[in-house]
Amino acid sequence: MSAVVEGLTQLSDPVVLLCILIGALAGMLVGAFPGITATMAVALASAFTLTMEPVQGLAVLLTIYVAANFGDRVPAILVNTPGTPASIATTFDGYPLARQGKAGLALTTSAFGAAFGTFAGLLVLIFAAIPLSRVALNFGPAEIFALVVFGLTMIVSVAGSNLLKGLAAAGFGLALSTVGRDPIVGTERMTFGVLELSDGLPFIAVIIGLFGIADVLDQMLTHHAATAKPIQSFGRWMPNRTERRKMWKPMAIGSGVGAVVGAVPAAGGDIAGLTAWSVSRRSSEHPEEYGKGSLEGLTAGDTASNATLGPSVSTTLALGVPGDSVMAVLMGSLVIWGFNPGPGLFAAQPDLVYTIAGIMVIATVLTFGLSLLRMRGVTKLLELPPHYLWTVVIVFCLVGTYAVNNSTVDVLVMIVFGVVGLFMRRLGFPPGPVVLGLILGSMAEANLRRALEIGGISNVLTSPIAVGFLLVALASVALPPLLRSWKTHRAGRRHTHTVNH
Amino acid sequence: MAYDAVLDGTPADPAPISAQPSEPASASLLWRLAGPLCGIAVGAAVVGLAQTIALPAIEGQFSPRWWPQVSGAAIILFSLAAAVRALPADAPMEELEARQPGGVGRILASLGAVAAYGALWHWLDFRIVTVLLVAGLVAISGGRGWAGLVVFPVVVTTVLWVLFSLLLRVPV
Repeated sequence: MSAVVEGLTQLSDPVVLLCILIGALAGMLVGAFPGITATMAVALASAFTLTMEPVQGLAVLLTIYVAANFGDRVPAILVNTPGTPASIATTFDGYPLARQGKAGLALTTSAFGAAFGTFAGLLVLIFAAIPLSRVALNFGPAEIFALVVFGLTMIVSVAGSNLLKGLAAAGFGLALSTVGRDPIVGTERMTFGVLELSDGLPFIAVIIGLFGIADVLDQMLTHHAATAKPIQSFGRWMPNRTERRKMWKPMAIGSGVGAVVGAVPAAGGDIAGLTAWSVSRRSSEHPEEYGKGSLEGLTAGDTASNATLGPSVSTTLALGVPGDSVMAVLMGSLVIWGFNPGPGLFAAQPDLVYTIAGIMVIATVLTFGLSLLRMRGVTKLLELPPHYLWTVVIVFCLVGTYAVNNSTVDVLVMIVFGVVGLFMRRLGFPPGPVVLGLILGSMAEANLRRALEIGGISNVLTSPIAVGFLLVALASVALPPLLRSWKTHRAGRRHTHTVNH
Repeated sequence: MAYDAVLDGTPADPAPISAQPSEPASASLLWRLAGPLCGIAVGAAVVGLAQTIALPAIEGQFSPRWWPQVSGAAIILFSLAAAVRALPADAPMEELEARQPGGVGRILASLGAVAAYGALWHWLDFRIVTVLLVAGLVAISGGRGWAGLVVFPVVVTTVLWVLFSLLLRVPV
């Protein structure tokens, strides 16, 4: 109990609260600009915070981390461009909702989901950090490969109406993931001698191209001044009682998925959001609405990606293994401040867990409040004439992508994938599975090869965790069509029976 | 024409109702197969490129070519299946917004402006080329007047400069 009191007492310093406010404003700004990731912002802020007191510095960095995960939903909903990779799933339903004149409702619902997810994740940090981290510590190549296979089954949901084209697109994503060095022997693959591609395709540039630039190009192609209908009304802002009731189930799914995915090292909000969107769709009474403006889909994705924050911090602190890329950057600052993330940290400084949880709770409350306040101003973006909106999106994507690595190759990759994304849209290939293949491809290949080279196929089949994931993956692919077929068969028999009668 | 058909999703010049029925039908088949055929071409390119990957001196259980080949084969396999599925005349097609006149021109001009921006950035100051790019993109998209072509570019460039160069210290 004294650790709790000690930890929370650290937050009574007004300077810490000021740091949280600065972090919230900076984080939301960072999240709202496509191309500027939370990782980049935390890395840059680290340079300024190293001279501060550890708790003050942590307040700035952790609040940027939290706030960026609220701000990144805004461009995802308004201009179909994820502010950070964690809001990819937001574009699936958020943008269609905005196009239906429900941008206000989408932004509010997203903020509620994100806040709920963050609090759920923080509960994991406070109560289940050590047990969850122990489970994640047991993940070897076989288990991670099985987890990735489970992740790949999401293609079934993300593919939309044409599963075959979705699967082909996922194959394209897997092929893209092979660009760079071979994960086992280090041989260069498909880099065409370009040094910048040795570490693989720049992920952020690819997703900004496939989603943001491709959408602007598509609008340029199809826009007609006479038929275009500028959005005059943003509709309701607050969800009604029926909608609020519907949000509980996807919020529960999102929280569960985010908690598990967040605890696994190197798996972040992007994977959690996509997984939760997919799981929620499978369990929904209206799966056909997903991808077309479903509030349930929007809530599930946003809850899950934010629910990874707490578990990700837990994994970083308890194991010394970064839960995601932001945590990898944060670990550097922690070490400089004299903290040593790892199993010993909880024993030596248990109060730190509660200080961190306290900072994140305050950051979430503050950012949630700011999210609701600023929305009316932000949605005015939709009223911009297309020539302003297209220009702003293109220019910010250009400079933002350059800023990630200070690389013109990244910008070129973004433009190329913008054009590729346009052709994919016009040819009926969904871009979602490409991203999924790109995210999971290298993890799948590296871990499968390691697992097979260590102990052959039995290495995978004798692991209860791996087998569990594989069975769930198999069930999630096979069960929906089997159930549909069974229902059709049953309905047909009923119909025949009625006619005969 | 083929480029137009691909971008449009429908024939660029839809045949009138009184036209011969065979013409729209053949165009429709071409359009239905366009996606899967592109997929097969991409898959074949991936498999071909995989053959150019250098093999390590000491070969392990799995070659570095293995995963790219599997990926390429998967693209070909699923694209072939999509092609077979698209063959019947009543095969379901995705609904796409129709291409508008001038749309392709707008895209090409915008890409050209971005390419010129990339080239000029090496020679001129970021603020100057960005003002020029923003003004160019606004003009290409149909914006006119001093507010769109002068004030807006200056405001956007100032925001970018303050955010990236001053605050985030990106060497733009």
